[in-house]
Amino acid sequence: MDIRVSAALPGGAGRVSSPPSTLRSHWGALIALFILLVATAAFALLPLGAFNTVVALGISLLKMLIVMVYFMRIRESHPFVRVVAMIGFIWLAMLVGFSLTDYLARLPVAVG
Amino acid sequence: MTEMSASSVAARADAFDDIEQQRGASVLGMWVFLATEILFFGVLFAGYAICRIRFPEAFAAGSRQTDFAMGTLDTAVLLFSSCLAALAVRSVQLGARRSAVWLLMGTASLGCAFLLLHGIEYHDEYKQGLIPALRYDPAGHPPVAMALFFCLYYAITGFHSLHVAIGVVLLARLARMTAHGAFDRDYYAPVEVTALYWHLVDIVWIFVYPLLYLVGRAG
Repeated sequence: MDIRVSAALPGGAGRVSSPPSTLRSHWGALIALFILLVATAAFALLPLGAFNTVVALGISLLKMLIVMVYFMRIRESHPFVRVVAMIGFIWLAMLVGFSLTDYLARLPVAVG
Repeated sequence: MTEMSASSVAARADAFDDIEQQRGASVLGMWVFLATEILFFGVLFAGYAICRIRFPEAFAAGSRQTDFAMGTLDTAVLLFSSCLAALAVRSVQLGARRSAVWLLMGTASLGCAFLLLHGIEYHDEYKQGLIPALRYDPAGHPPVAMALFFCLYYAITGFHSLHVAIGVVLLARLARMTAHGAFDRDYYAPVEVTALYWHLVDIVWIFVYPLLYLVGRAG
């Protein structure tokens, strides 16, 4: 049987891949990542209470976005690819979110 | 249609109209795999979140026992390696085979450096008696639940290191194949998808670092 994958697949007939990224964008992203790494370490030493975790995770999120945009080039990817990438994170949010909702709802409620 | 190189003609599977469509399918397939990887590590992170909410002091005490400087160095090594992996893809796309080989080897070497640093950390932790079930005899009187932190610490960093080790093997193999002319500006999907895998391993570590190494440091 001569079954052909549909041209609707990413990179279908006639579609060309995005041009190579510039050196400047790579090195710029790396410098930004190193600055954010120093910021993560520095903020961890400041007594901010619960905000230590919030700030650390916020900076990590920013680092992740830099890696995804400049190294993984998610913005230039086919829409299918972006949807799949987003689904991965939505699954993760549901897993952690519903687990915590369930767990926190079962904690003994303080009386008084 | 433009003239295609010999390697791209040889690499194209019959199911695809052209090499570009095959590349797109490879990238999509890799992202589907990465989504399952996000869930794999997500389970460990969800377990971590629940345990940390239940035992906040034990997790802060456990995190303070980890090596802050080494954790920071681990992160810097992986961030740098991710940049080299992205540059390797760029070099192959531009047809600069020689620099691509060096960049892939550089990425694999940084992966090895990461594993070596982690080995040193594990060794130090063994000496300090911080490995539950193997040698757990921490100094002072830490909370009992600190053992739980270390169980998660070894599960998360262990599985992450396994991913790094697999990545190192794949990158070294790609460097060898690139040197032998297996890839060029028309056909480079294996380099691209392996780099995507490597970036995800880097992203996982970006979250491991603050969650395992930086808790309770300000006190």
